[in-house]
Parts: sequence; C-alpha cells; structure tokens
Amino acid sequence: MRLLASLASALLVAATAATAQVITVPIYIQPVNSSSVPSFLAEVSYDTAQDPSSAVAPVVSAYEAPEILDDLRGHELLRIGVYDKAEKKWVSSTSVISAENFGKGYAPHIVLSVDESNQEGSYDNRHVLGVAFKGIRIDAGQTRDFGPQAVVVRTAQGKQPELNKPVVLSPEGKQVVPQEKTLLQKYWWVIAIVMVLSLGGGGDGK
Amino acid sequence: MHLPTQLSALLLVALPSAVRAVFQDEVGHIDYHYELLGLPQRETTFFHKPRRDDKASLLYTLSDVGVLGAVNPSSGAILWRQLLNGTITDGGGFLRAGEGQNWLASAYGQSVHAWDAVNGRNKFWMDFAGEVKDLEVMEMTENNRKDILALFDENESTVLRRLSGNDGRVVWEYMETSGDVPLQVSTNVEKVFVISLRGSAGAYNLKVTILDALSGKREDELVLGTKADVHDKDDVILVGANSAAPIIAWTDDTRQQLRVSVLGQKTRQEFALPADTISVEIHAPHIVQSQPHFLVHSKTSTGHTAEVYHVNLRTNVITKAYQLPFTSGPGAFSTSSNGANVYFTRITDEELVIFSSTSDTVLGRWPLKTTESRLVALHGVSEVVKKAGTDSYAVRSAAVTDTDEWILIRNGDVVWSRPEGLTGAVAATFVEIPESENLAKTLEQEAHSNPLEAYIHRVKRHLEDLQYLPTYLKNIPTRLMSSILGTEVSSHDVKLARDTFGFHKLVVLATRRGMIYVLDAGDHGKILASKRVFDLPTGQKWAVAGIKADDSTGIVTILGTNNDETTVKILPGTSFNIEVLSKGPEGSPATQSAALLNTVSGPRLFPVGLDGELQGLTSDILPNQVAVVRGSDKELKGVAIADGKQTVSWTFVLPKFQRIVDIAARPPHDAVASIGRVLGDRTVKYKYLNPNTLVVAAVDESTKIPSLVIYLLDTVSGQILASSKHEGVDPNKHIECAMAENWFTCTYFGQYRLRDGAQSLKGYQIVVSDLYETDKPNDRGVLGDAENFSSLGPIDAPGDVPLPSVVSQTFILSAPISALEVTQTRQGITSRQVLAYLPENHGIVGIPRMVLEPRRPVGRDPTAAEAEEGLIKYHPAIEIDPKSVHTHERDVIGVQKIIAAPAVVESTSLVFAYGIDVFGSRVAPSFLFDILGKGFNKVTLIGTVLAITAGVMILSPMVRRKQINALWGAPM
Repeated sequence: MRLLASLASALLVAATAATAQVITVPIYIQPVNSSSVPSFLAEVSYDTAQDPSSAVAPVVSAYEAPEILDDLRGHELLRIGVYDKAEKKWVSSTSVISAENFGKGYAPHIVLSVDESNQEGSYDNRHVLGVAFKGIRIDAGQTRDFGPQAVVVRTAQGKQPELNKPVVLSPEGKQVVPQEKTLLQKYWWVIAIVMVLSLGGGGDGK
Repeated sequence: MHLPTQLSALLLVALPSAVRAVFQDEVGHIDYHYELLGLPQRETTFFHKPRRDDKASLLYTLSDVGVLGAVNPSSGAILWRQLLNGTITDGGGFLRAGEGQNWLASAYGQSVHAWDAVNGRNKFWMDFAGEVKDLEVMEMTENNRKDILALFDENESTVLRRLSGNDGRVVWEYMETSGDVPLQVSTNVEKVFVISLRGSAGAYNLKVTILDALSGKREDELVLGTKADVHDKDDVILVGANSAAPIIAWTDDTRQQLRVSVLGQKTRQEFALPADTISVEIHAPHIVQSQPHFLVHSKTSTGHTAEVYHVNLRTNVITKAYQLPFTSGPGAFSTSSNGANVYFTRITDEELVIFSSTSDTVLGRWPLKTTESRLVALHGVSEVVKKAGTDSYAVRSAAVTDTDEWILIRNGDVVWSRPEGLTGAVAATFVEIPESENLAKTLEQEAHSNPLEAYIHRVKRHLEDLQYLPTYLKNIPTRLMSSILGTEVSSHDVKLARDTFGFHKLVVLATRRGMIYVLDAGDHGKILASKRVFDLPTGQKWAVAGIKADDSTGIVTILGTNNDETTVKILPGTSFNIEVLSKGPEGSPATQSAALLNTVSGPRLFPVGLDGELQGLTSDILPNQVAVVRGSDKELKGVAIADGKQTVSWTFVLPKFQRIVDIAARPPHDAVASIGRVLGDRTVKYKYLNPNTLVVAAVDESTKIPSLVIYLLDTVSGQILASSKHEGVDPNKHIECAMAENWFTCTYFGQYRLRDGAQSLKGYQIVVSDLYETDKPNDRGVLGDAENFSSLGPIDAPGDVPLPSVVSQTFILSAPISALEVTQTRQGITSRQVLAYLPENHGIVGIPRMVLEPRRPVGRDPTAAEAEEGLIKYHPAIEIDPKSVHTHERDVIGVQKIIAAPAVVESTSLVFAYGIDVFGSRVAPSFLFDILGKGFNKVTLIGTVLAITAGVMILSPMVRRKQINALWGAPM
C-alpha cells in the first residue's frame, strides 16, 4: 500500500516536475529530554517555483499551539523537524529550541531550509534540509497578522567566478576587432537635423 | 599568450609589496625546516656508486613515507629527493640499483620508474594495470644493457615484465593465470625465476617458475617441498637475486627450522634455528661476482646470534661455515661486498665488528662512541673498504635506531644522525614554556601571611636572588652587543624561558610511529626532547583523535583513537625535561574524535566513541555545553552535556547521496578587533560573529556531475544558517574549508559551464564567504539592541528571523592548495592570511585576506571610497605569487597540516607545518609594525648620538668662553 502510494506520488512528482508545485510538509516537535512521540505543530506549504522571485510566499496551513506548553517550566528544550508519522521518524535535520519561543507575545516563525535541486529524499520531503523555529516579539504598534509565519531559506547557487570577456578569434585565428562605425553611421542624426533645419527653416519670406 | 601579461600587470597593481612573505635577511633566521626522508626501509636502502669510475658512493633509500632520496654519506646532507606517490605512504615500494649503473629503478603501487643516480632526475615513469610485487635489476643481459624485471599482480594473475633499462619499454611479458600468489622475482646469469605461493592461506607451497631471460618463455616449473610447509607469505624470508647461486629461504611458523633451496633446484635443505628464535633475517650479497655466502641472523627475546653458510656452486649443497657468538641485547647485521669478497658487519649496542664471510676472524672491532646512553640499531647497511697495502679495514654503516633516527657510524664514531622520526607526524600543538611555579607560589604565600612576616620573607627572597646578580651583570655586555650587532644570544647556557615577543614557544609533535618530539620554535625548531610513547606492533599506527595544550601548566594531552591517552608534561627547570605518561593502546579503534569540554578545572579532552557517544564524562563538566559528533550514519549530532549525562539535542542529516568531506570551525583563539567593517562612505557593516558556528562541506553525488554543498550550522540549535551549492565539482580532488572571524573559505576543483552559458571553466577554485548581520550597512537587524543572544530562545524585538547575510566570491587558483589554516594574532587587529600547502609546488603560501575579499568590485575599477576601504578590482584568477610563499625556495614536501598560534606581539603569528617535512616560521601579514626589523641600524643610531654628545662636549666650553669674553670685553 505504502509502495503504491509512494509510486503514485512519484508519478505525480514526475508529472509536475517542470512546473511550480506547492509542497506541504508536516512540522512536529518533541521534548529533547523525553522519548515521547513527537507531536504535531504545524503544516507549512511552500512553492517550488524554478524562479524563487515568482514563487508564492510560504504559508502555514495548519498550526496547533503545543499542548505540552502547560507543563513546561519555560526552560525545556524542544526538537523540531519534519516528521513522518507513518514511518515514525524524522525526515529532515532537526534543530533545538527552547519552549519560551511559544510564550505569550511572540509570533511563531517557522524557518525551512530548502534545497529544491535535491531529487532524493524520503517521504514527501525531498527538499527540506532542516527546520528551525523562532518566536519573535509582536510589535504592538502594528496591526498585522500575529499568526504563525513561515520563512523559506533556499540553498543559494554557489558563486561562480566572474570571468573576463573571452577573446573572439576569426577563422584565421586573428583577434576580431569590432569594426568602428563610420562617421556617417555615428552622426547621421546631426546631418538629419541640419537637413530638417535647412529645409524647414525656409527663407525669411521675402 | 594574452592572459599572463594581462595578469601580471594586474597583479602588480593588486599585490603591493605589502604581501611579501619573507625578506631575504629573515631566511634561516625566523624560519626553520627539517628536510627529511622518512625512516629507511631495510630492503630499499643501500650504498651505490652513482658513477662507474667514481670511488665515492652515495646512500640511497626509499623510506617508509614514500620518499626516494640520496644522502651524502660523509655529511648526511640530502642531495636529492623525490616523493613517489605525491603524498605520504604507509611504507612498501621497491628500490634497486644495477652494479656500475648511473640510474636507480624504483616501483610503487602500479608504476615503475627510473632515476638518475647523480641528480635524481626522472629517466622514465611507466604505469601499469597491476600492482608491483617485486622489482629486480638484471645484471647480465645479452646486449650489455641492464634491464628491469617487474612482477605484477593483475586481477589474480601473475605478470612478469622485462623493461628496458634505457627507456622503460616492455621487452617481453610473461603472464600466468594460475591464481597463485606472486611473491618475488629473482635472476641468475641466464635464468629468471618467479616465485609464487600455491595453495590456500595457512598451507602454501612454494612454486618456482623458471623463464628464459632472453625470451621470457617458460622453461620449467618446480614446486618445492612435498607438503604445504609455508604458513604465511611473511615466512618466506629471502629470495636472493643477482647472485651466482640465488637462494630462497623460508621458515616454519614457529621459527624452529630454516629451509633453504638454491633456485632452480628441486631439493631443499633444513637447518635448525637457535632455540627461542622469534625472528630471522638473511643477509646475502647482491653481486654476481661475490662468493655465494649468506648470513642468517636469528633474534631471540634476549639477544641475537648469526650463522654463516656457504653454497657450493658445483653441487648446489649448502654448508654451515661458522657461527658467531650469541650476544645479549639487540644487534643488526649488514652485508658489504667488494668483488668476490663478502664482509658482514655487526652492530651491537656496544661495538661495531666486521667479519669476512670465509672465516669468523674479526677483521676490525670498534667500540661505539655515542653521545646517547645506549644505541640500539634496528637495521642498517654498510660499506667495508680494505685500506690499500695494509691489513686493516675501514667501515661505515648507516643504521636506523630504535629512537627513529638514521645514523652513520664510521669506525665506531657517529658521524651524523638525521631525525627521520619527525616524518609521519600526525598531530602537533604549540605550548607555552611553563613559567616557574615557585615565584607564583611564594607571592601567594606572602599575600596570605601577616605583613611583618611577609616583609621579612620578601627581604630574604631578594637577598637570595642576589646570587643571580653576577651572572646577570656578566651577561649584560653580550646582550648589549648582540642587540646592537643583531646577532643571536646563544641559548645553550640560558634557561628556557618565554621572551617578551612571544616567539619562544614549544611545539609538541606526535608521530604515527609512537614518538613524541618537543621542538623549540624560538630556536630554529631545535629538538629539545624526544621520547617513544608506545612500542607499536608492525603495521599499526598511532592515530591521534585530539591534542590539547594547557599553556599555564605546560601539559599536553593527546587522545588516541585506540583507547590510549598520553600526557606530556614540560617540567620547568634549568635543564629541559619532559615527563610522559601514557596509557597504551588496547583493543580495536573505538574513538572517532575528541571533544574539548570546559570543566571546573579548565578545558579537557573527552573521547567520542564511534557511534558518537562521549565517553568518560565526569560530573565536574560545566553545564550548557554542546559537543558536535558524527553519528553512526555519518550524520552530525549535537550532544548537550549536563551533570555528566549526555542527550542528543539536534541532528543534521544530509540528503541521500550527500556525504561530508570536510568540517571547519572557528579556531579556539579567534580574536576579533572590530565588530564591524567601516565602509568608504563611513557607514558600517556589522559582522555576524556567532562563536557557535560550523562549516560543513558535503559532496552531492546524486547527479551525474557531482556538486559541492556548503552548509553553515549553528552548533547550539542545529539550525542551518545558510547553504550554497556549487555544481561541477570533482569529489576525488581535495576539498577543504577554513573558518575565522566572520568568514569562511573552501577550496575545490571545479569543471563546469558558467550559468550564463557563455563560457566554461576548469580548475582549482577557492570560494570565500563573509557573514554580516544584515544586508544593509548601519543596520544590525532585529538583534541590534539586544544585550545578549540565545540560539535557542525567542527574540525580544519585532522584526524578521535573524539570519546572516552571506556575501561570496569565487576565485580560480593557479595551483591546488591543501591544509588550509588562517593566521592568528593576539588581538586580531592584524589582517589575516589563509595559509595553505601547495602540494605541487612544495611550498606554503599565505594568501592575504585582502585578495580573498568578496566585496572586490567586479568589472570596474574601485571608486575612491572603495579604494579607501582597501578594495582592489576583482580579478578571477589568483596567481600564487612567489613573494607570498613563506617557504621561499625551500622544498617542503608532504605537509599534511599547518597550525598557527599568536605571538605576544600583535603583528606576528607563529606557523608550524608537519607531515613528512617539518617547517616553522613567523608570519606578519601586516608587516612587523611593532618590532624593529633587522634593517634598523642601531650602530648608526648610537654612533650619531655619540658624535652629537662629543660635539656638544667640545663645543660647549668654546661657546662659554666666547660668551664670557664677550661680556668682559669692555666696550671701546
């Protein structure tokens, strides 16, 4: 069954590989010091557009403020990452946050590190390298959405050296010098203006 | 060529003389270099005459680190060296020389090469498919040319090739696909013998295939012995070659009997070995003219003895000629032949004795005169000369000692000794000379007693100190003179102490052979002490997981991967001494690395198990520490340590088909002078200075052309701060990263088409990335006003998620680089250099950070404001400028790692490189702005002052007299 599902998803991926695709990943949290099952935190959708500038901003499509908050004394550490509930394993790198991030007055920000050129991965997660979380103080003066935000940090294209312009050679192996424009090509507009002026100017109408 | 001229012109602009690495008058003054070969191997070391008519012979060796070299036997100076494999090796290889030939033949791995014996130039280099198992020079051939026989193991088949001695061309090739294990090749005047092992492991038979030397056709095949009597291939001790009657000798696995057979004969003879023999060596001449005599050297746990055997050429019967007396203690034998005469040299820990092979009369005996207490020679080679017209002999022996030295003993005197044990270094660290603890203790004592007692104590102490006054006064003139003339004070009689500049540091070096060396970086790298820590069994190497120096106590801790721990304590005192405590290696390797954790009593190393679990955690470890370890699936894990317990906090899992190739972190001492960079327009870009960051370089092999992915991790939270992907990277070439301050750099080999598609490029590259708090100047982002910062906690100011802004630039290098290290200075004010080893140029280069600057303007000249900032126009290529090579003309080979440490003066960083050679120097990336250079002429200064003083003294009475006369002179 699982195989079928993954086959189907693989087909889907193949079909939509060329175009932009919205991928949704489940984010789970788990206390570092306990072996309890990770609990659902949020679901983040992001756009895998080839051109990141045209991509739709990532959205947190579901968010459950952690219940464990009640018995946290503010200092417990939590592990956060993409979790495969069926396989019961983390399918991305995990990072650690303190439970204070979920405190009052902080807007949750989920940071996904994404490498869209990655073709291999497990579950539905091919791209998400790791997940981080930050609670950021809500600006009381601003009337904005205080809801959970998602930030996608994409793997940058490695910088390539900026080469000098190549030397163009003619078939004879000589260096091609771009031909200088003739005086006529360069200053035809001066002549045109002079002509227009001299033609249109006319005499003094005597 | 268009590019170079354009380049050099650009470089003239780009690299002002400020980047010059070494001035001529500093060579040999600030730097030191041990030009080394490695420990000579028994089978690949010999005396050989490089010119047929010359009397003088040279000492040739192929060492256990893969260096082939020639040494002048009278001075111990290296004449030439060749690094055969391009990098450090684990021993092996073959080296032979034909009698009277001016070339040497060597083989390593899959290649056979020949070298000019005089100057070490390559004659030819041939690569083959199989692995070379043996190499021999044919002394006699049909065309008066000496050829090379090379035995290969090619995919389970045995291949013997005869290569022309002139150009390495294959004369004939013999191939056998019997599945036997090829062992050695041998030859006498007309036949070639291939010796292989037939059968299965533990029960082999020796098989000798006889070939015609002229055509390589198989003539016969013999299997020696009826039953499988060779247990292991190490039991075959010797297959003689180029002798009138080459022999093959092997023992049973309990070393009770020696079995010898003359090659080409089916019969074998057995000789009983002395009781309790643990190992056997055979020494036989390698010249056809020599008498077919050989010596069997048997070692027991308490001593050694030797027996000499003769082979009857007519009947091929081997008879025992005589036996040398058993001597307790270690000893080494070597053979020397002079025409038909064969001499055996015996080196024991007390004397050097020579015998003739014909009788046991002692031809010469010299007691060993060594400076060291006891000399233990492990193996050696020797050359015996009969003095013309007399009956006396002279002998010189080059021997490897148990302290990893190579010494030459001439008639009992040690003429030279080379510290070849410094090669194969696996770890090193700088350590401060420990200050005398007494003064600190007394001062503390005085502080705690009542004022009167303290005063009396102090006066007493000062009176006691008066005894050092005469020596101090006596030294003043010499010190003054040396200061004026610029000569160095000899440090022999002076107690080892720190100097005001901080150049005087010690280097503790550990080698894979289990030796510890202490070098004085302030005194040309002089070896102050050496000590064997472990007696490692053959084939085992000392692998070091972590090394750590405590500067206040002078204790260096070395954690090995094999459950071993070594402490080197440098004892303060007038004579230098070290104390080494070690817990020997045991069991199988169980440590992947070592983690440095802060404890109540200072930082300490803790071993990290193969599964990533820290071991031996104690309760005195300070809380809130995270160690980064490799997990069993090669992932990275952050391990939080609290109360002696460890919890895996985060995991960094790479995508499938990616693997980590290198990890770099900021050095422990990484002083940052300024938190921002002032730009030309007086705005400031603030540096991202998170101390808990790590650069991980991974190779992505999911695509046909692999790519390199560089991740920047926060080690406390495990968050991926930044990542970038470089396409078209060769994963088999060296990929390495270094990190300092707010930037990191990685080097790799790339071959790709540029993303704009216009051009493609191929070459070694270096990418450098700067990290800033935000993209914009004068903006510190959301954390701008925060007093402190936690990677884990929330952020108390509204804004965006704080992530570093990365500015990168890539350059093409004109040569590959490895062993990256960043210079360190005390305050971090001095600009930095990226130090790297040039494996192809054999030097250490310092690339200024000014050149590796991501903000260099591309495609235009810098504006006035940018020029003010020190930015120079971007040029895609970085030429390795000879002026920036710190090793200047020295040929430094096989550097595996470079370490740097700050000196007391801000301008200077101490540098030490190890691997095969050992090199050390001082680097001043922004010049010596705080020290008077050697060029400062103190003589002129003092001369001028003296001249002015003299002038004043002469002129002032004259002026005074004139003034008085003027006053008294009555106006007329």
